[in-house]
Amino acid sequence: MAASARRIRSQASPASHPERQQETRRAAARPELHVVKSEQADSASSQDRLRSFIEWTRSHTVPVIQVGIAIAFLGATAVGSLTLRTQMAENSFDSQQTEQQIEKLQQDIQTDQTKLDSLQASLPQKAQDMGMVPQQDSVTIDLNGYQPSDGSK
Amino acid sequence: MRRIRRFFDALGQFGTRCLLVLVAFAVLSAACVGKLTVLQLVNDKGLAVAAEENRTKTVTVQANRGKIEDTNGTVLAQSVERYNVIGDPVLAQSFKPTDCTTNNKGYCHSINGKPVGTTGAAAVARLLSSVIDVDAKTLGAKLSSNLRYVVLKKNVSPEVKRKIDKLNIGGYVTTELSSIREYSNGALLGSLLGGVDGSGKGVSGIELLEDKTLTGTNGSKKYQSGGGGQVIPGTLVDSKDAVNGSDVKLTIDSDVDWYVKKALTDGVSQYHAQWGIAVVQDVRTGAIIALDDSDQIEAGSTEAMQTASRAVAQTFEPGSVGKVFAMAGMLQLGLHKMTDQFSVPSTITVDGQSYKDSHEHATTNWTLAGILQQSSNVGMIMAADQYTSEERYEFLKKFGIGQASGLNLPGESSGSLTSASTWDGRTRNTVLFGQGYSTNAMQITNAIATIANKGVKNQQYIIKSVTDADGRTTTPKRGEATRVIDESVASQMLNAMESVGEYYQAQAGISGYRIAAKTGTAQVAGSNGALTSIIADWVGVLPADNPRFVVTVILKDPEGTYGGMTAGPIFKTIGEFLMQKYQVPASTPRTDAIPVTW
Repeated sequence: MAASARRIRSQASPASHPERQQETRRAAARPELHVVKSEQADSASSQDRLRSFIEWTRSHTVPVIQVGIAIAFLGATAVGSLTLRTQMAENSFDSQQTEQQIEKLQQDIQTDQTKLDSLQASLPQKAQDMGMVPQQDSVTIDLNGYQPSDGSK
Repeated sequence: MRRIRRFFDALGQFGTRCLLVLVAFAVLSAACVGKLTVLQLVNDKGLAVAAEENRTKTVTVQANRGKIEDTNGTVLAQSVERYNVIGDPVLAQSFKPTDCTTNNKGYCHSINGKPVGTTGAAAVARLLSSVIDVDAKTLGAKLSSNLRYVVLKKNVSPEVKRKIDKLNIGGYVTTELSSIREYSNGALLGSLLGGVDGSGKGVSGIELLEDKTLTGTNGSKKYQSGGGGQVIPGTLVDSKDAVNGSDVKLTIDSDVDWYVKKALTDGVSQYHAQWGIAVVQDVRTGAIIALDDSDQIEAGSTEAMQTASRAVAQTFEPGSVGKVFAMAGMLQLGLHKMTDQFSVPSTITVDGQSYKDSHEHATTNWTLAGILQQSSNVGMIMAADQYTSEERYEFLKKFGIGQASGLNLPGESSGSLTSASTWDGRTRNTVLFGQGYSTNAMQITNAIATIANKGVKNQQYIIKSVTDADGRTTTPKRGEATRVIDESVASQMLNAMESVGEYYQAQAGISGYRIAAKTGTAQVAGSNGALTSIIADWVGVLPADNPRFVVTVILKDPEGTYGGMTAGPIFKTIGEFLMQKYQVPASTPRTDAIPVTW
């Protein structure tokens, strides 16, 4: 185990003695001593941790490669899920736009149909305005007593 | 305490400040972590539900009201989508238009390519007035209040709504979906179709009669929505489709009705009548093919919502048309035959009451058919000497006089036929010639159609079929047909009525077709309550040899007074059109006329 970085202040001599007290006051005027933290030691500590983790994984039945695959799989599914959700949201916008377009077209059809119905309803009046009148009398041919001519026999 | 002081002394001033800031951050972080813990672990479920509720909205899917069509499928009434324009005055007063440049066309503001030139409510009003037909000052005034919701214009078309969207003033001005009822034919069938109120509910005419059938059921959608209102995928929790109202098809032929209304309007104008009513009924089925009046009431208008169709609401004494019902009763009871002979004077006194014919004449030898042809009141009284009051009442009732027509049209008046026991000595006799009771146009049309239909009274109907949103067509149940008189009696009556038709050949004859008819003229109460007004009517069957249609024409106060002279020519015009339109074969010559004199 690497030594942890610590700041040490000496408390070795009793502070009650008068000489010691004077010495302590002088010492306070001097820079304090402290342990300098080693960067190499930190790095070694991380490597140790990784090494111990690998050791730990080896001590178990599941090899680290499988753990790696599992993590990769989880990552892939997370990304896939995110992609699909994004696509669904995009489709939802598209669907809404299409629905609005359909609604707009239906309104246009409705408007045109109403105009057409009004025009159709106004046809008799327009025909009359143009001077058209319904036929008044039936043209009938009375065949009672009809005698076929010699030529038709 | 000394240690702490020493500690701070050792840190120095800068170190102390840093430590304090650190502590402050630590406290803040701890508070955040604490709050987060509360939010995520303690109140997590409640907050999640609240958030979901906030995102979740239920949208109503509007169902369309069904159409009303004529017998040929021509649309008479339909609902179309419209929008109400809503303003937010408070927001509008803070509006600052953005002048258009080449880079901001998607959100800038201009009127016909020019800058708006003002700000606030006035700017919104100017922009809006360029696309809706409302004065900018009026709009400005509406937008100057301290309200958050003001209706600026109702029922603008989708086309106008799209123009409003392009003004880039969303938020200041919004639109709400609404719908209006469009009637294609204007005043044609106006009061019969009626109208709907602001909420789309039928309030008069067919719209009220068939309101339940025409009204659809709104649907709904419950989902979580994004900021733009779009559905968040996978969050649709409840969806119910809207079911549109059923379409109602009438028996009315709008072409025939148009011609009938035109003939009626021309007739009213020609004879300076107050109003006119005309009904065309199919003899074989009881279907009403045309039903209109001379009133120019636009369907859907306030007047249409307040006024019932005159054809069902207006009651009147039928006058001499009533002789047909009385005479049919006498024949049915075996009191007389149509050939029975009478010497009929011009006046008669019974039980101290005097009665006279419309024209003074010498005592004349008429058969019963002749009495009907000459429309003699005196002859009817003479013929009815064995016809009891109860029998008179019973036959009038059987013919449907004073009874509800069964059409159930809103505003229908059944008229008035009081029981025989309430009749005084004069009324007992006046009912023989159509006075002393009142009826409406539908009742006398069906009563004459009963005679034309060999004595069988059909139930009149005006609703041909109903087609629901799934396209299933059903026919409404109708009342049973009932026999009123024997076929032989009906035949005799039709024969006598044909003699009436021949009598008015010059006024109402239709070339190529035989007609059976009866005219009527009755004095009715005028506006002052006295008997100063006239009802002139004509009910005709055509063709008489193979009855297809009964046409009734009624005029109020026509110049020319008599039904045969005024309503008769209108019947002729309508009859000619019907024969042509339905390509009815021409009649065979009449060979079995019952003598009218002896």
